[in-house]
Amino acid sequence: MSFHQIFANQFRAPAANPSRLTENYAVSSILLYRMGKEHAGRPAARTEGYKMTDAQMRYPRLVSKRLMLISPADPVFDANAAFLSPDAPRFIDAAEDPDSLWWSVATIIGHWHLHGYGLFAVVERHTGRTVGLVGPWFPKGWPEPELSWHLMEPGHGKGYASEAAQCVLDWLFTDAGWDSIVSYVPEENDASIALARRIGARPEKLVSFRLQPAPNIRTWRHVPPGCTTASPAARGLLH
Amino acid sequence: MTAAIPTLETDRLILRAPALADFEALCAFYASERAAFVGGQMDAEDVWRQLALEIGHWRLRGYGRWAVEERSSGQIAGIIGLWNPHGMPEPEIGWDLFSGFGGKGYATEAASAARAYAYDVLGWTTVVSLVDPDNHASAAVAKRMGASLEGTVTRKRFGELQVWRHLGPDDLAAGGMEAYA
Repeated sequence: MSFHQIFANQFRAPAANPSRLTENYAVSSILLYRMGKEHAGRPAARTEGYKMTDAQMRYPRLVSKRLMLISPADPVFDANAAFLSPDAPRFIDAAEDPDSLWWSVATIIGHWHLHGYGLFAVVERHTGRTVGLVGPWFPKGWPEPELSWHLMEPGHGKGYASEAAQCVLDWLFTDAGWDSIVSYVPEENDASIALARRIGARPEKLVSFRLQPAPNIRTWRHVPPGCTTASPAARGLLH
Repeated sequence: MTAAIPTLETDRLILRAPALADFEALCAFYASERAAFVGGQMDAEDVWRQLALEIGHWRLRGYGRWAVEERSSGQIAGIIGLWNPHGMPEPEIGWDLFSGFGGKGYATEAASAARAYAYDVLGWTTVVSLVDPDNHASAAVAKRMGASLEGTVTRKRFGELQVWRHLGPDDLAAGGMEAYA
C-alpha cells in the first residue's frame, strides 16, 4: 500500500477550487477529560440539556533497540504534531496533498478503534522524533491483514523500517497470537522487497484488488519463527 | 487529550461514538440517493474508511460527529455533529439523517445538541452548516435552528454549497428557546 491510498476515496476526488478554500487549524483540541456539566457555562446552551459519559481503550506500546512503537490513537501520542504540523517531516511515499494526509492519518487512527490494532507510530527513542508508521493494516476490501510500512524522510536509510516491522511481527506472533500476515509489495519496489526478505517473508502470488489498483503487486507472507511452511491456503500459489 | 468520545443525550436521541456496529446502516445510507447530498454514493470499502475517518476526526480535532441513536428503537438514525476535516473552510454542524428517520425533527434535535456542545464545552463563538442547494430538507433544518444563509462555498466532491451561519452563543443566551422557535 502506498501512503496516498490509505484514504482512497479522498484521493480520487476532483480538484478543489483553491481560491475558495482556506485551511483551518484555528480550533484547537480540548481536554475532553475535563468536560462535565460544571464546565457548561453558557445558560442558553444549558437549556438543551444533555449529559456525557466517557469510554476508554488500552493500546499496546512496543519497544525495540532504537525505536518505540505507539498507537497514534493512544491518548499520550500527539498525532497532529507528529504527522500534520507544518514542520512535520513528510512521508516518503505520500501524495503532495494536505487534505489527503490529514484524512489518511484520521483513517489510520479510526482503524485502531474498529479493529483494536493498526499502524503504529514509529518513534526514534533517542530523539523522540516520529519517523514513520508500521503495523497491521486491514481495511474493508483487503484480502487479508497486511504488515505495512511508511517511513518519513528523517527515518530513511537507517534500517528503521525493518527494525519496526520485526518488532511488530514479534508482537503479532507472540502476544497477539497471529499465525500469519502478508505484505503487498509492488514488484518494482526493490527496497521493500529487500526489507520483506530481510525480515523473513516469502513471496507468493501476484494480487489485485480494487483499492490497490497498481499492477504487479506481490503477496509476501510472514510466519512465526520456526514455522517453516506457509499457511495451507497459501501453498502452491507461488507464481 | 483522552481518546474518549462523549455521549450526549437529548429527549428522544442518544449521540454516541460511531462504532463498527454502525457499519451496515452507514452502507445503506451511502448506497441510497440521500448520499447525493453528501459527496456521492460509496461502496462498502469506502464506507469502512469513512467510518474510521469519523472516529479519527475526534482524535485529531477533539470533536467530531456522533452516531445518533433513536432512544425508542435503539436504531441509528444518522451521523450528526461537528465536522472539520482538513480542507473545510471552517467547522460545521453536519447532519446526515438516514432513510426512515426524516420528518420527526431528529436532525434539529441532534444538531441543536451538537451546537450546544460546541458553545458550552468547546467554547466556540460561531459555527456554520454547509448545505447542498438542492437539499431542501437540510436547509429547512438550518432555518428551524435559526441559522441565516450568508453565501456559498465550493468544496471537493461536493460542488457549490450554501453556507448557513448558526445563531451564536450570545444570540441563544439572549433569545433562549424562542430564538429558533
